[in-house]
Amino acid sequence: MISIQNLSFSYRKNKPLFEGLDLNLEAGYIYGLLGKNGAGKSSLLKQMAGLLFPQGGVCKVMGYEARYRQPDFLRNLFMVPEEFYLPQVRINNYVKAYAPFYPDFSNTSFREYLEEFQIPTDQRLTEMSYGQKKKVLISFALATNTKALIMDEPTNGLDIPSKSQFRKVIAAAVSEEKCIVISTHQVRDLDNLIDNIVIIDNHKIIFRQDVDAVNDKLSFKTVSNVEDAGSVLYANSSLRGHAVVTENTDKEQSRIDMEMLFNAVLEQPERISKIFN
Amino acid sequence: MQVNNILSARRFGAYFKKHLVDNYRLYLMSLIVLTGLLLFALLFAIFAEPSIRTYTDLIPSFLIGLYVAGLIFTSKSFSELGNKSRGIDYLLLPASHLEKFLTTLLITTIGFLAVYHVAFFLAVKAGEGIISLRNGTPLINDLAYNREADGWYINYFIWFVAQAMFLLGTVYFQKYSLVKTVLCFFIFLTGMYLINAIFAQIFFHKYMKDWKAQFPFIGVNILLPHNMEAHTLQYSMNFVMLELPKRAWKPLLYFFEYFVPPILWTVAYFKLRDKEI
Repeated sequence: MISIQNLSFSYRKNKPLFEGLDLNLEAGYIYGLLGKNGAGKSSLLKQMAGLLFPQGGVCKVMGYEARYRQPDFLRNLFMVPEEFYLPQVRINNYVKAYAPFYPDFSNTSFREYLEEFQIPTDQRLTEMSYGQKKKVLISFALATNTKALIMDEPTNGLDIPSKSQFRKVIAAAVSEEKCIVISTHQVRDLDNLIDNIVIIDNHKIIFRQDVDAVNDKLSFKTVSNVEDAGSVLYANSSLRGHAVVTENTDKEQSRIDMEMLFNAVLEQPERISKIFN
Repeated sequence: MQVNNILSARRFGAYFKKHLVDNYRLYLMSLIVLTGLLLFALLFAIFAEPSIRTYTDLIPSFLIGLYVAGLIFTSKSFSELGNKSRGIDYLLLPASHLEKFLTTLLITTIGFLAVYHVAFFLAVKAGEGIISLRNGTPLINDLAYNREADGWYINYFIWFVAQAMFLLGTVYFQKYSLVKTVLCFFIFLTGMYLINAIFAQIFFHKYMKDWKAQFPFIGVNILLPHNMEAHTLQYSMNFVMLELPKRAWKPLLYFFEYFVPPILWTVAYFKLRDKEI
Protein backbone atom coordinates (compact mmCIF):
# COMPACT_ATOMS: atom_id res chain seq x y z
CA MET A 1 0.00 0.00 0.00
CA ILE A 2 2.66 2.53 1.05
CA SER A 3 6.15 1.89 -0.20
CA ILE A 4 9.04 4.18 0.63
CA GLN A 5 12.39 3.25 -0.81
CA ASN A 6 15.75 4.82 -0.07
CA LEU A 7 14.12 8.13 0.84
CA SER A 8 16.38 11.11 1.38
CA PHE A 9 15.05 14.49 2.41
CA SER A 10 16.32 17.57 4.16
CA TYR A 11 14.96 21.04 4.82
CA ARG A 12 18.48 22.46 4.88
CA LYS A 13 21.67 21.46 3.16
CA ASN A 14 23.98 19.26 5.25
CA LYS A 15 21.20 18.61 7.79
CA PRO A 16 19.39 15.52 6.53
CA LEU A 17 16.06 14.56 8.03
CA PHE A 18 15.88 11.19 6.24
CA GLU A 19 18.74 9.29 4.69
CA GLY A 20 18.11 6.07 2.80
CA LEU A 21 14.85 5.47 4.65
CA ASP A 22 12.91 2.34 3.67
CA LEU A 23 9.39 1.57 4.85
CA ASN A 24 6.58 -0.65 3.60
CA LEU A 25 3.12 -0.41 5.09
CA GLU A 26 0.35 -2.80 4.12
CA ALA A 27 -3.42 -2.60 3.97
CA GLY A 28 -5.48 -4.01 6.83
CA TYR A 29 -3.38 -2.55 9.63
CA ILE A 30 -3.25 0.46 11.91
CA TYR A 31 0.30 1.74 12.13
CA GLY A 32 1.50 3.90 14.97
CA LEU A 33 4.34 6.15 13.89
CA LEU A 34 6.26 7.17 16.98
CA GLY A 35 9.25 9.43 17.43
CA LYS A 36 10.71 12.22 19.46
CA ASN A 37 9.92 15.85 18.65
CA GLY A 38 11.66 16.80 15.43
CA ALA A 39 12.33 13.19 14.45
CA GLY A 40 10.45 13.73 11.21
CA LYS A 41 7.07 12.07 11.84
CA SER A 42 5.05 14.87 10.24
CA SER A 43 7.51 15.19 7.38
CA LEU A 44 7.26 11.48 6.70
CA LEU A 45 3.45 11.70 6.63
CA LYS A 46 3.72 14.68 4.27
CA GLN A 47 5.92 12.61 2.00
CA MET A 48 3.21 9.95 1.94
CA ALA A 49 0.57 12.56 1.09
CA GLY A 50 2.70 14.21 -1.59
CA LEU A 51 3.00 17.49 0.26
CA LEU A 52 6.78 17.15 0.38
CA PHE A 53 8.89 15.62 -2.37
CA PRO A 54 11.73 13.15 -1.90
CA GLN A 55 15.15 14.55 -2.75
CA GLY A 56 16.30 10.98 -3.28
CA GLY A 57 14.44 7.69 -3.52
CA VAL A 58 10.76 7.24 -4.11
CA CYS A 59 7.52 7.31 -2.14
CA LYS A 60 4.64 5.35 -3.66
CA VAL A 61 1.14 5.00 -2.29
CA MET A 62 -1.23 2.52 -3.95
CA GLY A 63 1.21 2.43 -6.87
CA TYR A 64 1.11 6.22 -7.38
CA GLU A 65 4.12 8.41 -6.84
CA ALA A 66 2.79 10.64 -4.08
CA ARG A 67 4.64 13.75 -5.27
CA TYR A 68 2.43 14.06 -8.38
CA ARG A 69 -0.77 14.36 -6.27
CA GLN A 70 -2.90 12.87 -9.04
CA PRO A 71 -6.67 13.02 -8.41
CA ASP A 72 -6.97 9.22 -8.51
CA PHE A 73 -4.37 9.05 -5.75
CA LEU A 74 -5.89 11.90 -3.72
CA ARG A 75 -9.42 10.48 -3.77
CA ASN A 76 -8.04 7.35 -2.11
CA LEU A 77 -6.03 9.14 0.54
CA PHE A 78 -7.14 11.40 3.36
CA MET A 79 -4.82 13.23 5.67
CA VAL A 80 -5.81 14.71 9.02
CA PRO A 81 -2.99 17.19 9.62
CA GLU A 82 -1.98 18.48 13.03
CA GLU A 83 -2.87 22.00 11.95
CA PHE A 84 -6.03 21.66 9.92
CA TYR A 85 -8.39 23.98 8.07
CA LEU A 86 -12.17 23.88 7.97
CA PRO A 87 -14.12 26.54 6.03
CA GLN A 88 -16.57 28.80 7.85
CA VAL A 89 -19.69 26.87 6.91
CA ARG A 90 -22.22 24.52 8.46
CA ILE A 91 -21.37 20.83 8.57
CA ASN A 92 -23.95 20.06 5.86
CA ASN A 93 -22.39 22.59 3.50
CA TYR A 94 -18.94 21.24 4.22
CA VAL A 95 -20.12 17.79 3.23
CA LYS A 96 -21.81 19.16 0.08
CA ALA A 97 -18.60 20.88 -0.99
CA TYR A 98 -16.07 18.16 -0.17
CA ALA A 99 -17.88 14.81 -0.39
CA PRO A 100 -18.31 14.81 -4.23
CA PHE A 101 -14.54 14.42 -4.54
CA TYR A 102 -14.55 11.15 -2.59
CA PRO A 103 -16.49 8.48 -4.49
CA ASP A 104 -16.78 6.13 -1.49
CA PHE A 105 -17.96 8.77 0.95
CA SER A 106 -20.77 7.53 3.21
CA ASN A 107 -23.09 10.13 4.66
CA THR A 108 -24.62 7.54 6.99
CA SER A 109 -21.22 6.66 8.43
CA PHE A 110 -20.39 10.35 8.78
CA ARG A 111 -23.55 10.94 10.85
CA GLU A 112 -22.75 7.90 12.97
CA TYR A 113 -19.23 9.09 13.68
CA LEU A 114 -20.53 12.56 14.59
CA GLU A 115 -23.04 10.95 16.90
CA GLU A 116 -20.30 8.88 18.49
CA PHE A 117 -18.30 12.06 19.08
CA GLN A 118 -21.46 13.89 20.26
CA ILE A 119 -21.18 16.67 17.70
CA PRO A 120 -24.42 18.56 16.87
CA THR A 121 -24.83 18.49 13.08
CA ASP A 122 -26.61 21.83 12.71
CA GLN A 123 -23.78 23.85 14.25
CA ARG A 124 -21.52 26.14 12.28
CA LEU A 125 -17.91 25.01 12.18
CA THR A 126 -16.80 28.48 13.31
CA GLU A 127 -18.85 28.15 16.48
CA MET A 128 -17.07 24.95 17.47
CA SER A 129 -14.08 24.46 19.74
CA TYR A 130 -10.79 23.19 18.35
CA GLY A 131 -11.49 19.71 19.71
CA GLN A 132 -14.98 19.61 18.18
CA LYS A 133 -13.65 20.72 14.80
CA LYS A 134 -11.01 18.03 14.96
CA LYS A 135 -13.69 15.44 15.66
CA VAL A 136 -15.67 16.66 12.63
CA LEU A 137 -12.59 16.32 10.46
CA ILE A 138 -11.80 12.85 11.82
CA SER A 139 -15.43 11.80 11.22
CA PHE A 140 -15.27 13.11 7.66
CA ALA A 141 -11.90 11.44 7.09
CA LEU A 142 -13.27 8.07 8.20
CA ALA A 143 -16.49 8.51 6.20
CA THR A 144 -14.55 9.11 2.96
CA ASN A 145 -13.54 5.42 3.13
CA THR A 146 -10.23 6.17 1.46
CA LYS A 147 -7.78 3.29 1.23
CA ALA A 148 -5.06 5.27 2.97
CA LEU A 149 -5.81 7.37 6.02
CA ILE A 150 -2.97 9.28 7.61
CA MET A 151 -3.34 11.23 10.81
CA ASP A 152 -0.81 13.56 12.35
CA GLU A 153 -1.21 13.90 16.11
CA PRO A 154 -4.99 13.27 15.89
CA THR A 155 -5.47 13.15 19.66
CA ASN A 156 -3.95 16.60 20.26
CA GLY A 157 -6.71 18.87 21.54
CA LEU A 158 -9.09 16.01 22.35
CA ASP A 159 -10.33 15.65 25.91
CA ILE A 160 -10.03 12.34 27.78
CA PRO A 161 -13.49 10.93 26.82
CA SER A 162 -12.87 11.95 23.20
CA LYS A 163 -9.58 10.06 23.14
CA SER A 164 -11.33 6.81 24.00
CA GLN A 165 -14.09 7.64 21.48
CA PHE A 166 -11.33 8.18 18.95
CA ARG A 167 -9.79 4.78 19.67
CA LYS A 168 -13.23 3.19 19.36
CA VAL A 169 -14.09 4.71 15.96
CA ILE A 170 -10.65 4.03 14.49
CA ALA A 171 -10.72 0.42 15.64
CA ALA A 172 -14.16 0.03 14.05
CA ALA A 173 -13.09 1.68 10.80
CA VAL A 174 -10.13 -0.51 9.92
CA SER A 175 -10.74 -3.04 7.17
CA GLU A 176 -8.81 -5.42 4.91
CA GLU A 177 -8.22 -2.83 2.23
CA LYS A 178 -7.53 0.15 4.47
CA CYS A 179 -4.16 1.32 5.78
CA ILE A 180 -4.27 3.74 8.70
CA VAL A 181 -1.12 5.54 9.82
CA ILE A 182 -1.23 7.55 13.02
CA SER A 183 1.67 9.63 14.18
CA THR A 184 1.86 10.83 17.74
CA HIS A 185 4.23 11.74 20.48
CA GLN A 186 1.52 10.98 23.04
CA VAL A 187 2.16 7.27 22.78
CA ARG A 188 -0.31 6.28 25.50
CA ASP A 189 -3.16 7.55 23.32
CA LEU A 190 -2.54 4.65 20.96
CA ASP A 191 -2.62 1.94 23.61
CA ASN A 192 -4.72 -1.02 22.47
CA LEU A 193 -5.36 0.63 19.10
CA ILE A 194 -2.44 0.08 16.79
CA ASP A 195 -1.36 -3.30 15.55
CA ASN A 196 1.99 -2.20 14.13
CA ILE A 197 4.58 0.03 15.72
CA VAL A 198 7.02 2.11 13.70
CA ILE A 199 9.62 4.17 15.54
CA ILE A 200 11.63 6.79 13.74
CA ASP A 201 14.85 8.21 15.11
CA ASN A 202 18.10 9.62 13.81
CA HIS A 203 16.94 9.86 10.15
CA LYS A 204 15.88 6.21 10.00
CA ILE A 205 13.21 3.72 10.95
CA ILE A 206 14.80 2.01 13.95
CA PHE A 207 11.86 -0.23 14.90
CA ARG A 208 9.00 -1.72 12.93
CA GLN A 209 7.18 -4.64 14.47
CA ASP A 210 3.63 -5.84 14.85
CA VAL A 211 2.06 -6.03 18.27
CA ASP A 212 2.10 -9.85 18.32
CA ALA A 213 5.85 -9.89 17.77
CA VAL A 214 6.35 -7.33 20.53
CA ASN A 215 4.20 -9.42 22.89
CA ASP A 216 6.13 -12.49 21.92
CA LYS A 217 9.59 -11.03 22.40
CA LEU A 218 9.17 -8.51 25.20
CA SER A 219 7.59 -8.53 28.60
CA PHE A 220 6.10 -5.51 30.36
CA LYS A 221 5.68 -5.80 34.10
CA THR A 222 5.97 -3.98 37.40
CA VAL A 223 8.42 -5.35 39.94
CA SER A 224 9.40 -4.27 43.42
CA ASN A 225 13.09 -4.84 42.77
CA VAL A 226 14.72 -4.14 39.40
CA GLU A 227 17.48 -6.70 40.01
CA ASP A 228 14.89 -9.47 40.30
CA ALA A 229 13.46 -8.73 36.89
CA GLY A 230 16.36 -10.26 34.97
CA SER A 231 17.62 -8.74 31.75
CA VAL A 232 16.01 -5.28 31.94
CA LEU A 233 15.91 -3.24 28.75
CA TYR A 234 14.27 -0.23 30.33
CA ALA A 235 12.99 0.61 33.79
CA ASN A 236 10.86 3.39 35.12
CA SER A 237 10.40 3.83 38.84
CA SER A 238 7.19 4.98 40.47
CA LEU A 239 5.40 4.73 43.85
CA ARG A 240 3.92 1.40 42.76
CA GLY A 241 7.36 -0.10 42.11
CA HIS A 242 9.47 -0.39 38.99
CA ALA A 243 7.87 -0.73 35.61
CA VAL A 244 10.29 -2.70 33.44
CA VAL A 245 10.65 -3.98 29.92
CA THR A 246 12.52 -7.24 29.68
CA GLU A 247 13.16 -9.88 27.09
CA ASN A 248 10.26 -12.34 27.17
CA THR A 249 12.25 -15.50 27.69
CA ASP A 250 9.46 -17.27 29.60
CA LYS A 251 6.78 -16.55 26.93
CA GLU A 252 4.64 -14.63 29.41
CA GLN A 253 1.62 -12.70 28.22
CA SER A 254 1.71 -9.02 29.13
CA ARG A 255 0.03 -5.79 28.07
CA ILE A 256 2.21 -3.58 25.90
CA ASP A 257 3.00 -0.25 27.45
CA MET A 258 3.67 1.97 24.43
CA GLU A 259 5.59 4.55 26.40
CA MET A 260 7.86 1.94 27.95
CA LEU A 261 8.42 0.27 24.60
CA PHE A 262 9.22 3.60 22.95
CA ASN A 263 11.74 4.50 25.64
CA ALA A 264 13.30 1.03 25.55
CA VAL A 265 13.76 1.22 21.78
CA LEU A 266 15.34 4.66 21.99
CA GLU A 267 17.65 3.70 24.87
CA GLN A 268 18.65 0.22 23.74
CA PRO A 269 18.26 0.13 19.96
CA GLU A 270 20.99 -2.46 19.43
CA ARG A 271 19.74 -4.87 22.10
CA ILE A 272 16.17 -4.52 20.86
CA SER A 273 17.28 -5.09 17.29
CA LYS A 274 19.15 -8.25 18.37
CA ILE A 275 16.06 -9.58 20.16
CA PHE A 276 13.82 -9.10 17.13
CA ASN A 277 16.24 -10.38 14.49
CA MET B 1 -12.07 2.50 -13.98
CA GLN B 2 -9.29 4.60 -15.48
CA VAL B 3 -9.52 8.14 -14.15
CA ASN B 4 -8.36 11.13 -16.16
CA ASN B 5 -5.76 12.63 -13.89
CA ILE B 6 -5.18 15.81 -15.93
CA LEU B 7 -8.57 17.31 -16.74
CA SER B 8 -12.02 15.87 -16.22
CA ALA B 9 -15.06 18.02 -17.05
CA ARG B 10 -17.06 16.58 -14.15
CA ARG B 11 -14.34 17.10 -11.58
CA PHE B 12 -13.52 20.53 -12.94
CA GLY B 13 -17.21 21.48 -12.67
CA ALA B 14 -17.35 20.18 -9.09
CA TYR B 15 -14.18 22.08 -8.16
CA PHE B 16 -15.37 25.29 -9.81
CA LYS B 17 -18.67 25.01 -7.96
CA LYS B 18 -16.87 24.38 -4.67
CA HIS B 19 -14.69 27.43 -5.27
CA LEU B 20 -17.73 29.62 -5.91
CA VAL B 21 -19.62 28.24 -2.90
CA ASP B 22 -16.56 28.85 -0.70
CA ASN B 23 -16.04 32.38 -1.99
CA TYR B 24 -19.41 33.75 -3.13
CA ARG B 25 -19.78 35.96 -0.05
CA LEU B 26 -16.35 37.45 -0.62
CA TYR B 27 -17.04 38.03 -4.31
CA LEU B 28 -20.43 39.64 -3.69
CA MET B 29 -18.95 41.91 -1.04
CA SER B 30 -16.07 42.76 -3.38
CA LEU B 31 -18.56 43.72 -6.13
CA ILE B 32 -20.41 46.05 -3.74
CA VAL B 33 -17.20 47.58 -2.36
CA LEU B 34 -15.72 47.98 -5.85
CA THR B 35 -18.87 49.68 -7.17
CA GLY B 36 -18.90 51.98 -4.15
CA LEU B 37 -15.23 52.89 -4.50
CA LEU B 38 -15.58 53.49 -8.24
CA LEU B 39 -18.64 55.68 -7.66
CA PHE B 40 -16.77 57.64 -5.01
CA ALA B 41 -13.71 58.01 -7.27
CA LEU B 42 -15.82 59.07 -10.27
CA LEU B 43 -17.78 61.66 -8.31
CA PHE B 44 -14.58 63.00 -6.83
CA ALA B 45 -12.97 63.22 -10.30
CA ILE B 46 -16.01 64.87 -11.86
CA PHE B 47 -16.52 67.46 -9.10
CA ALA B 48 -12.79 68.18 -8.82
CA GLU B 49 -12.39 68.51 -12.60
CA PRO B 50 -15.38 70.30 -14.16
CA SER B 51 -14.01 69.72 -17.67
CA ILE B 52 -15.11 66.07 -17.41
CA ARG B 53 -18.26 66.04 -19.54
CA THR B 54 -18.04 62.92 -21.70
CA TYR B 55 -17.60 59.19 -21.29
CA THR B 56 -14.21 59.42 -22.99
CA ASP B 57 -13.03 61.62 -20.12
CA LEU B 58 -13.74 58.71 -17.76
CA ILE B 59 -11.42 56.31 -19.55
CA PRO B 60 -8.37 57.13 -17.34
CA SER B 61 -10.45 56.37 -14.22
CA PHE B 62 -11.68 53.16 -15.86
CA LEU B 63 -8.14 52.02 -16.63
CA ILE B 64 -6.72 52.94 -13.22
CA GLY B 65 -9.53 50.97 -11.55
CA LEU B 66 -9.05 48.05 -13.93
CA TYR B 67 -5.34 47.77 -13.16
CA VAL B 68 -5.44 48.52 -9.44
CA ALA B 69 -8.45 46.32 -8.59
CA GLY B 70 -7.52 43.57 -11.04
CA LEU B 71 -3.96 43.22 -9.91
CA ILE B 72 -4.81 43.35 -6.20
CA PHE B 73 -7.51 40.72 -6.78
CA THR B 74 -5.11 38.52 -8.76
CA SER B 75 -2.42 38.84 -6.12
CA LYS B 76 -4.87 37.43 -3.56
CA SER B 77 -5.32 34.18 -5.50
CA PHE B 78 -3.50 31.12 -4.21
CA SER B 79 -3.42 32.83 -0.81
CA GLU B 80 -4.11 29.33 0.58
CA LEU B 81 -0.52 28.42 -0.17
CA GLY B 82 0.74 31.04 2.27
CA ASN B 83 -1.04 29.27 5.12
CA LYS B 84 0.03 25.77 6.13
CA SER B 85 -3.36 24.34 7.09
CA ARG B 86 -5.24 25.94 4.17
CA GLY B 87 -2.46 24.93 1.81
CA ILE B 88 -2.74 21.28 2.86
CA ASP B 89 -6.52 21.40 2.38
CA TYR B 90 -6.06 22.98 -1.05
CA LEU B 91 -3.33 20.69 -2.34
CA LEU B 92 -4.91 17.47 -1.06
CA LEU B 93 -8.39 18.08 -2.44
CA PRO B 94 -8.85 15.43 -5.12
CA ALA B 95 -8.80 17.65 -8.21
CA SER B 96 -5.90 17.97 -10.60
CA HIS B 97 -3.46 20.87 -10.48
CA LEU B 98 -4.72 21.93 -13.89
CA GLU B 99 -8.33 22.05 -12.69
CA LYS B 100 -7.35 24.10 -9.65
CA PHE B 101 -5.20 26.42 -11.75
CA LEU B 102 -7.83 26.89 -14.48
CA THR B 103 -10.44 27.76 -11.87
CA THR B 104 -8.24 30.51 -10.46
CA LEU B 105 -7.27 31.69 -13.94
CA LEU B 106 -10.90 31.94 -15.09
CA ILE B 107 -11.97 33.72 -11.92
CA THR B 108 -9.14 36.26 -12.07
CA THR B 109 -9.47 36.98 -15.80
CA ILE B 110 -12.93 36.47 -17.28
CA GLY B 111 -14.63 36.54 -13.87
CA PHE B 112 -12.89 39.71 -12.75
CA LEU B 113 -13.30 41.52 -16.08
CA ALA B 114 -17.03 40.74 -16.14
CA VAL B 115 -17.51 41.89 -12.55
CA TYR B 116 -15.37 45.00 -13.04
CA HIS B 117 -17.29 46.10 -16.12
CA VAL B 118 -20.59 45.59 -14.31
CA ALA B 119 -19.27 47.53 -11.29
CA PHE B 120 -17.97 50.39 -13.46
CA PHE B 121 -21.23 50.53 -15.42
CA LEU B 122 -23.24 50.68 -12.17
CA ALA B 123 -20.92 53.33 -10.75
CA VAL B 124 -21.15 55.47 -13.91
CA LYS B 125 -24.95 55.19 -14.02
CA ALA B 126 -25.26 56.07 -10.34
CA GLY B 127 -22.73 58.88 -10.72
CA GLU B 128 -24.57 60.22 -13.77
CA GLY B 129 -27.81 60.26 -11.84
CA ILE B 130 -26.23 62.26 -9.03
CA ILE B 131 -24.56 64.71 -11.46
CA SER B 132 -27.69 65.31 -13.54
CA LEU B 133 -29.65 65.93 -10.34
CA ARG B 134 -27.05 68.50 -9.33
CA ASN B 135 -26.20 70.08 -12.70
CA GLY B 136 -29.15 69.10 -14.82
CA THR B 137 -26.83 67.85 -17.58
CA PRO B 138 -25.81 64.19 -17.86
CA LEU B 139 -22.44 62.99 -19.21
CA ILE B 140 -22.31 62.71 -23.00
CA ASN B 141 -21.82 59.22 -24.38
CA ASP B 142 -19.25 59.84 -27.11
CA LEU B 143 -17.62 56.42 -27.05
CA ALA B 144 -19.14 55.32 -30.36
CA TYR B 145 -17.48 58.04 -32.43
CA ASN B 146 -14.79 59.60 -30.27
CA ARG B 147 -12.71 56.55 -29.55
CA GLU B 148 -9.36 55.68 -31.08
CA ALA B 149 -9.94 52.05 -31.97
CA ASP B 150 -6.27 51.17 -32.36
CA GLY B 151 -5.19 52.61 -29.03
CA TRP B 152 -8.03 51.16 -26.99
CA TYR B 153 -7.59 47.41 -27.15
CA ILE B 154 -3.87 47.50 -26.25
CA ASN B 155 -4.83 48.36 -22.65
CA TYR B 156 -6.51 44.99 -22.32
CA PHE B 157 -3.46 43.20 -23.71
CA ILE B 158 -1.22 45.02 -21.23
CA TRP B 159 -3.69 44.15 -18.47
CA PHE B 160 -3.49 40.44 -19.37
CA VAL B 161 0.31 40.58 -19.30
CA ALA B 162 0.24 42.28 -15.88
CA GLN B 163 -2.39 39.82 -14.62
CA ALA B 164 -0.27 36.84 -15.75
CA MET B 165 2.76 38.36 -14.05
CA PHE B 166 0.91 38.85 -10.76
CA LEU B 167 -0.60 35.37 -10.95
CA LEU B 168 2.88 33.93 -11.32
CA GLY B 169 3.97 36.12 -8.39
CA THR B 170 1.25 34.69 -6.14
CA VAL B 171 2.41 31.15 -6.81
CA TYR B 172 6.08 32.04 -6.33
CA PHE B 173 5.77 34.16 -3.22
CA GLN B 174 3.77 32.73 -0.36
CA LYS B 175 3.57 36.01 1.54
CA TYR B 176 3.43 39.67 0.48
CA SER B 177 3.19 38.54 -3.13
CA LEU B 178 1.87 41.92 -4.35
CA VAL B 179 4.86 43.88 -3.03
CA LYS B 180 7.37 41.23 -4.03
CA THR B 181 5.96 40.96 -7.56
CA VAL B 182 6.07 44.73 -8.04
CA LEU B 183 9.65 44.75 -6.76
CA CYS B 184 10.64 41.91 -9.11
CA PHE B 185 8.97 43.71 -12.00
CA PHE B 186 11.01 46.85 -11.37
CA ILE B 187 14.21 44.84 -10.97
CA PHE B 188 13.41 43.10 -14.27
CA LEU B 189 12.74 46.44 -16.00
CA THR B 190 15.94 47.96 -14.61
CA GLY B 191 17.88 44.89 -15.70
CA MET B 192 16.49 45.13 -19.22
CA TYR B 193 17.27 48.84 -19.36
CA LEU B 194 20.86 48.26 -18.26
CA ILE B 195 21.42 45.34 -20.66
CA ASN B 196 20.02 47.49 -23.47
CA ALA B 197 22.34 50.30 -22.36
CA ILE B 198 25.35 47.98 -22.68
CA PHE B 199 24.36 46.90 -26.21
CA ALA B 200 23.56 50.48 -27.19
CA GLN B 201 27.01 51.52 -25.99
CA ILE B 202 28.64 48.66 -27.92
CA PHE B 203 26.90 49.57 -31.19
CA PHE B 204 26.38 53.34 -30.97
CA HIS B 205 28.87 54.55 -28.37
CA LYS B 206 30.44 57.36 -30.43
CA TYR B 207 27.03 58.61 -31.64
CA MET B 208 25.32 58.74 -28.23
CA LYS B 209 25.31 61.79 -25.96
CA ASP B 210 25.35 59.52 -22.88
CA TRP B 211 24.44 55.93 -21.93
CA LYS B 212 20.86 56.88 -20.93
CA ALA B 213 19.91 57.95 -24.47
CA GLN B 214 18.15 54.64 -25.27
CA PHE B 215 15.09 52.63 -24.28
CA PRO B 216 14.59 48.88 -24.70
CA PHE B 217 12.39 47.88 -27.68
CA ILE B 218 11.90 51.56 -28.65
CA GLY B 219 15.21 52.87 -29.98
CA VAL B 220 18.42 54.82 -29.45
CA ASN B 221 18.89 58.58 -29.55
CA ILE B 222 21.93 59.21 -31.74
CA LEU B 223 23.85 62.12 -33.15
CA LEU B 224 23.83 62.04 -36.92
CA PRO B 225 27.38 61.36 -38.20
CA HIS B 226 27.49 64.21 -40.77
CA ASN B 227 26.64 66.77 -38.06
CA MET B 228 29.17 65.71 -35.53
CA GLU B 229 31.74 68.34 -36.45
CA ALA B 230 29.38 71.23 -35.84
CA HIS B 231 27.60 70.05 -32.78
CA THR B 232 28.97 72.37 -30.15
CA LEU B 233 26.52 75.24 -30.43
CA GLN B 234 23.23 73.52 -31.23
CA TYR B 235 23.98 70.19 -29.75
CA SER B 236 20.49 68.79 -29.23
CA MET B 237 19.22 69.85 -32.60
CA ASN B 238 21.38 67.25 -34.32
CA PHE B 239 20.02 64.21 -32.48
CA VAL B 240 17.57 61.78 -34.03
CA MET B 241 15.72 58.84 -32.59
CA LEU B 242 16.84 55.67 -34.27
CA GLU B 243 13.68 53.63 -33.80
CA LEU B 244 13.24 49.91 -33.99
CA PRO B 245 11.99 49.19 -37.53
CA LYS B 246 8.36 48.19 -37.92
CA ARG B 247 9.27 44.72 -39.18
CA ALA B 248 11.05 44.16 -35.84
CA TRP B 249 8.61 45.68 -33.35
CA LYS B 250 5.48 44.28 -34.99
CA PRO B 251 6.43 40.65 -34.24
CA LEU B 252 7.66 41.74 -30.80
CA LEU B 253 4.34 43.41 -30.07
CA TYR B 254 2.49 40.36 -31.38
CA PHE B 255 4.61 38.15 -29.10
CA PHE B 256 3.95 40.47 -26.14
CA GLU B 257 0.19 40.54 -26.75
CA TYR B 258 -0.50 36.90 -27.56
CA PHE B 259 2.35 34.84 -26.14
CA VAL B 260 3.60 36.48 -22.95
CA PRO B 261 0.41 35.87 -20.87
CA PRO B 262 0.08 32.17 -21.83
CA ILE B 263 3.80 31.63 -21.19
CA LEU B 264 3.54 33.21 -17.73
CA TRP B 265 0.37 31.22 -16.95
CA THR B 266 2.12 28.01 -17.99
CA VAL B 267 5.10 28.77 -15.75
CA ALA B 268 2.66 29.53 -12.89
CA TYR B 269 0.88 26.20 -13.48
CA PHE B 270 4.14 24.24 -13.33
CA LYS B 271 5.18 26.12 -10.23
CA LEU B 272 1.85 25.22 -8.59
CA ARG B 273 2.37 21.57 -9.55
CA ASP B 274 5.73 21.60 -7.78
CA LYS B 275 4.46 23.32 -4.65
CA GLU B 276 5.49 21.74 -1.34
CA ILE B 277 4.12 22.56 2.08
